[in-house]
Amino acid sequence: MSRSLIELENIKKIYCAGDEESATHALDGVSLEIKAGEFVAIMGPSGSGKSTLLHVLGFLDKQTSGNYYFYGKNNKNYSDEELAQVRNKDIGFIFQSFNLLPRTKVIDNVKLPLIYSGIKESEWNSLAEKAIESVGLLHRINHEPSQLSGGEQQRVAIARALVNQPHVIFADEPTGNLDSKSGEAIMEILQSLNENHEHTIILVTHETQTAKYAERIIRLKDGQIESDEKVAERYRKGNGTLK
Amino acid sequence: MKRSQNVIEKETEPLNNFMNLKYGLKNSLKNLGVNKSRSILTILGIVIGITSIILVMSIGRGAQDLILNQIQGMGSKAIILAPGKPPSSFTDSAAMLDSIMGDALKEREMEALLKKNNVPNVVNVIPIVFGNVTASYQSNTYRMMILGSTEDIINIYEVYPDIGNFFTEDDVVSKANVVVIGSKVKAELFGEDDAVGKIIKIKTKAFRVIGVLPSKGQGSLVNFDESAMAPYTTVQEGLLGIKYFQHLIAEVDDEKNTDQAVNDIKITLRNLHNITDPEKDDFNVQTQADMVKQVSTVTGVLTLFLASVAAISLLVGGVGIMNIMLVSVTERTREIGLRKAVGATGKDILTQFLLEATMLTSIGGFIGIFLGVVLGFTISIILTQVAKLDWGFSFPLGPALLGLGVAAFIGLIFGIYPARQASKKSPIEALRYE
Repeated sequence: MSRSLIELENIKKIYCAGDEESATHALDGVSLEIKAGEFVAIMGPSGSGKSTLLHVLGFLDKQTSGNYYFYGKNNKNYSDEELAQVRNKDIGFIFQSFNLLPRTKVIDNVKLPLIYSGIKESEWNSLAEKAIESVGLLHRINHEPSQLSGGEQQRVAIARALVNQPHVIFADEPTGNLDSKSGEAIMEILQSLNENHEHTIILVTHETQTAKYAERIIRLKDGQIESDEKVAERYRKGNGTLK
Repeated sequence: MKRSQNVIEKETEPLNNFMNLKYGLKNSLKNLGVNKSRSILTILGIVIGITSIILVMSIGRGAQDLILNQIQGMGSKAIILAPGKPPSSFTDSAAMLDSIMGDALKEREMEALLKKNNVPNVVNVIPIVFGNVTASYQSNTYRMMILGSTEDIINIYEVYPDIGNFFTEDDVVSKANVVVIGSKVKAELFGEDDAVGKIIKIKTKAFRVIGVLPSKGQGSLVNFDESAMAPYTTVQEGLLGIKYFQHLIAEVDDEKNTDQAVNDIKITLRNLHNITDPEKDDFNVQTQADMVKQVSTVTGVLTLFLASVAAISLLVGGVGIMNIMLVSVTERTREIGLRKAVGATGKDILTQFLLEATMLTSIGGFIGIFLGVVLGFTISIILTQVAKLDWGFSFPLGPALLGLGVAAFIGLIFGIYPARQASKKSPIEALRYE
């Protein structure tokens, strides 16, 4: 077997606010391994460093020390252009607050990653439509975010994350701003992506129900891994509810 | 593993994911449209700047053409002689006075210049005297300029009476008291009545009107509408009481001999006046080319000066652009973060904001050029219709292109700071911005 998709070695993230004594250790020596095709939930109370970890994993932030190997390549060796390319092609990111561009149609929001992909403009529409179809929003294609419900907005965000067909999808509290029913729908989409398309899914949540969609749960506390275990009773779509 | 090979392939692939320009332009236009009133106010500074530059340039060009046309109307074979040494500057009042009052040019000089062995290339010398006199007909009086010359003057100024005739060589030789009057003079003295054949009084002498000139409007070197022309032989001593000429115009046989003729004229006059030091010349010689050069320099400097005043408003407009782009960058921090999170490079963000700034100023530039041209054209029509000037309007292509270039350049210069600020933001910091 070759190397893992993601390998972390003693990752630390320290936020310095003035002198060293007041420095916050958001991540305090995290080491872990994630293989391609896994569905991992990162859990922990607020301030545990779970979002910081996801940002480092998703190339939105850089660790203060330690090594992060993505496909075997240390993230310190990426140039700014290469980082942009990884964010564009290899990963998709879903945010708690959706982060859709206001006053911009659904289709144009989904097209956003394509603009920076080098893919020919003539292919943008069909690729974006395909991604929107996979989240079941074709009928909303010309709507603007303000005309959509929270659940629909998050589905647009998922379509945007999918449009460049990345291997890995990172989700930062994807159901955090949604009612439970919309949240379930989002998690079902993520789970089906993991099963049907072999996307690796790494999500951060503080909700136990949400985490049960994953096959593996990593718990963080004070910037360190508290536990890392397989989900015993994984919730699967169509297998009843968790209420 | 299959995927890791994929990644390695990707790394060797050239980084050609630079944002596509067509999208960039569309996107910039859309973003400017979102804040319409703000964009409009921002470009107003640029519009005013470019408009005033175009306007100043086109009016400057019009004025220059007008003056140059008249100088060129005299024909390139004309050499103008005036008494007094050449004025060293426009404030050299002693030399200026000399050129009007000086008596260095008389019949003797004219005859000397006409001699083939002195100046072989000169075919004709036309004397000019002028002064202000009062003319009267019955109870009407009018103060006008009287211009005395020979019949050949019509070849120089291209003025022909549309009623009656011009005076002839015989009139000059016989010192006939005949006069050709301008349209304004005719209207003031005769009203609607016929003038030709009537006797008018100029000073105390009686002159017979033999022709009336058509209205030429203002803006000529000589305002013929308010002038009268008569043989110099009657005007010089009889009306003005002088024994010299204010100007002599020498006509050269061929344009290419002008320089030679100027030289010969100078030598002839210096010999005649016993001048050995050219610094002490009591006359000056100007060719049409000299005058064109002088006028072009003066109007060019003036136009440049006015344009640079107008350029200051462009600068102010540029600062406005920078200000609004900074606001825009701050407002759209989250958008910048998101774009970076989905794969935009710093260069992409820089390009986006530079495009927006450049587009703002270019739109301002286009509107400014349009307004400038429309205003310039309107002014040229007003000057032609109301002031009766022969004012030609030409589209100032050079200044227009320059204005557009300057506008775009200002967008680049004043956009680069905000755009750099935007491009340097780290994605997660930008996304967290509230």
